[in-house]
Amino acid sequence: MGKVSLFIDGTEVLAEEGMSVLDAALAADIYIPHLCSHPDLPATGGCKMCVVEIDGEEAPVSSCVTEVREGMKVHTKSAQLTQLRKIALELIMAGHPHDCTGCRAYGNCELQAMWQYLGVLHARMKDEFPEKATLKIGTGTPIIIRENDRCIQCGRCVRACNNLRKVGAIDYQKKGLETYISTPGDLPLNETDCRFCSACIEVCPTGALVDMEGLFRADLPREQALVPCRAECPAHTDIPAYLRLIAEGKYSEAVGVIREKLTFPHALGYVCNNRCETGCKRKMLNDPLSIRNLKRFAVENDQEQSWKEKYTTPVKPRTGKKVAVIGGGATGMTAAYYLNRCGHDVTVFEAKKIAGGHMTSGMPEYRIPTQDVLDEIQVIVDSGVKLVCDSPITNAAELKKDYDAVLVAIGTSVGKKLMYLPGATFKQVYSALDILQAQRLHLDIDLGQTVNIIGGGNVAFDVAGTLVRMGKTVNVVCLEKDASQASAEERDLALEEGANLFDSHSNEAILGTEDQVTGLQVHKINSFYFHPETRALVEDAIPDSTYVIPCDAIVFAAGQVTGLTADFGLELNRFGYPIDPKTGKSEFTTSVEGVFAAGDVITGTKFVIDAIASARECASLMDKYLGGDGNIDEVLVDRTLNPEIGTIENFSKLPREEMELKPVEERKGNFEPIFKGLTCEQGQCEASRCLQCDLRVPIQKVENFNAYSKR
Amino acid sequence: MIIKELLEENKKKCLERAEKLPEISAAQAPAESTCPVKWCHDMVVAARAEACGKSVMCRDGLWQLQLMLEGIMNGQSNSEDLEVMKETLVAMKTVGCPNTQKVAELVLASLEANAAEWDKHVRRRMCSSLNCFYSLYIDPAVCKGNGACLKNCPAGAVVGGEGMISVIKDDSQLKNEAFIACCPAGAIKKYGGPVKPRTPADPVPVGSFGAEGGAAAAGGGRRRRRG
Repeated sequence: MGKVSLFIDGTEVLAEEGMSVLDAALAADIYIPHLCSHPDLPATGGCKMCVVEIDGEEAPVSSCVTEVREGMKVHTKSAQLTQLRKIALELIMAGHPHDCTGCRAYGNCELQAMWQYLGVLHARMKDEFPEKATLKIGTGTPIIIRENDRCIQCGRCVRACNNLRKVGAIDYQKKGLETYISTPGDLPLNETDCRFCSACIEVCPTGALVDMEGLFRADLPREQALVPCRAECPAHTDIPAYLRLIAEGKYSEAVGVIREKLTFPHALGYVCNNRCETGCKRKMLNDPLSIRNLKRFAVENDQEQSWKEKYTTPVKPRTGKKVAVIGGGATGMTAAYYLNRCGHDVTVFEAKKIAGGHMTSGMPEYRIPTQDVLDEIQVIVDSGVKLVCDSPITNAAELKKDYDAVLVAIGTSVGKKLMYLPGATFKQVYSALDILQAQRLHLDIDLGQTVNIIGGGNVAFDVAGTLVRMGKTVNVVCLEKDASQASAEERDLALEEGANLFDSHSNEAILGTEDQVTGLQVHKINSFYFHPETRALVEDAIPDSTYVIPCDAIVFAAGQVTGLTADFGLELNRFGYPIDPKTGKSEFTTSVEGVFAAGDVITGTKFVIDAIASARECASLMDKYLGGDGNIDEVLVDRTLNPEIGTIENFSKLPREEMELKPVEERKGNFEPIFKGLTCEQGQCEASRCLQCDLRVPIQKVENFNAYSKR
Repeated sequence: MIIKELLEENKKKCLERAEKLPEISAAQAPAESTCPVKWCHDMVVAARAEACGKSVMCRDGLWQLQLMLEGIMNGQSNSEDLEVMKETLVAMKTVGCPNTQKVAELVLASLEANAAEWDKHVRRRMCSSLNCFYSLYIDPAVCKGNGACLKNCPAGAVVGGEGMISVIKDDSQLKNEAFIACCPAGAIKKYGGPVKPRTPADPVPVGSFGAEGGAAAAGGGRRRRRG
């Protein structure tokens, strides 16, 4: 591209060949008013705001459609130009409502800025407004709210849809003599080819196209909030990018994108609590994207593992600093990976015989297979992290003496028992974690045949499913009617597999001897609540309903604690969580300098994704402590955003693809995953349902007059 | 970003539309036979129907022009409005698309050629060709009393009967070509200005009014001021 030199208002400006006079002027900080022109869209010269005089030309021309020429002399300000611009703006305003303050674009409206710049009132023209026949067209569309009365027909949305996106859902239409912008036949957008990319909203200069209220979080910067799935993910995984790759069949690249933020894609594909899906805009059309299942799908179809070399090769020079991580769960392994990547030598001490924390010993095997987790741990070990199993650490402060930094990532690995219940100390009284660990790690455990589970949350049914598969007779005893504390799906799965539910039951005592539990004494209740001040249970018991549910063992599914004591060398709060004495709160720093804490051990039991997010943040902090820059960002897959998304048949009606649940006969008696992964056809189809909200972010903002010094 | 093909395609279509518009000479036709305001109005409406509406002059400019011309024809415009219209026309002629430029040139040519008639419309609310500002009367000399006008009007607007000369009591709902054409004898006629032709105040038998009213109908009737 050659350079062209021209004069704009007497200033010599160097511009690219083929550039418009408008763009050349704006690039040179000279403002020419413009409304229909947009830096990402082809110019049409429709609004006549950008008219300029050019020496040698008979009449003023629209600068947005006039190419720069060598030696051209352009004048952007004159009495004639002001008059032309005012007339054009008065014409535009004649068809626009006057209630600026009632408009959602108020204060963020290019038309408003334009009449402030030109000082135009619309009283001179005839009011077109009451004559408009097209005011109420298309108001019933989800996601993209159209207020046709505020439309000035600049056509940016039409060009965004047609030229930028190659979708072509909207265009100029005519009704009688009136020109307006709509879909063919004025159909709602969800009955057209619209892909709901919202590029039209992004380029609209007025409040004619606005986002449905409540789609985006108000507490985040705009470019983050615009992609709700990514904003909702605690680790901010680039979800639209990997969904796009899955839709293209590029599974390995998709996993690469996931791995830029997440150390356990496969595990998360099984058990993530998918908060991303709650943000998904597609839920306004029909159902959100099945993001978690697509993650599992991508990993299971990733043949090449093309990300692996880049992922396991540290980029930064070795620092010679030594870091110990206590606990090889999601938090510990994730922090270890990033700290190793930052150049530090990391050793992970795992108390159990295998690493993985709750992923390998705190959840049922049929929800998250051990081998899949171990494979992902191996990737981290391959990257250079030293993992030592069967090595419980008893004192973090002592360990710090041998290392430059220590991370406590032991999670909440001790199950709670309700010790006030008579008989809670008997030999066959266990916590939920005891059962899950025993099954996952193949430990011996004395259960007998019949097991009563006390508790009605999801964990109770995880334990029930596990025990049923171990061939036990399982009774779940809980206060809540229908075990309403648990999700209905998890409850029904366990009941379908053969667990018995004793809901609206209150416990009185565990019966038997120190050596052998024989039953659980209970009575029935009508209702209950926890006293708001004392937190004590208040129940409306049914009189004379006491009876005994016989059993050989009792399991408490009543939550988990850290199990830490003062012997660990850290200051703890009264619940056993490490605290930073400076703030008195549980956070990344502890009472010992150089000893950090992250994950469940400071947050209480949360989800794997929270552990990873916590570990990433803490690793960054620790890197800074160790003298690094704290930057743990990495790009494993180069991506180019193709703005031309085109059309997909029946796009807005495409149903959400679900994984197939195995029938109960296939589920019982084994610990295989209970859901079958998506088929390739399902996976690609599901990924293609994505609205690709991220494509909107790179669309440029049009600056108003006040951004230019020569205006 | 300039995509020349898009611009040229639009311009080509626009030029084709401009080709279909009348010649300048048609806009300069004498005002006695054709009302220039109505001619311009009809031309603008036809141009709007064809227009692509993608540029402000083509879309809102033509719409405003139509509204302004209707304002003049309905007597709702003053000379200030005429000035705004002229300013708009100049802008349309200067930077409009080919189709809009041609429309503006036609209206400007009419304004120039028939300046007096436009002025008469705006300042005196009068139209030489009786297209605008007219009232209706039933010529007592022509009326045959056959009652066609009674069947074609809202109740009470016209009074009359079999063999009687009909009399228009209220023409506000009747000013359209269809009503004027409904009389087979052609007795429904327009008049403009303050002088109302002489007619009976109430229906009288056919023939009983014409004898003494023949000369009066042609001119010297009762004078009244328009409100």
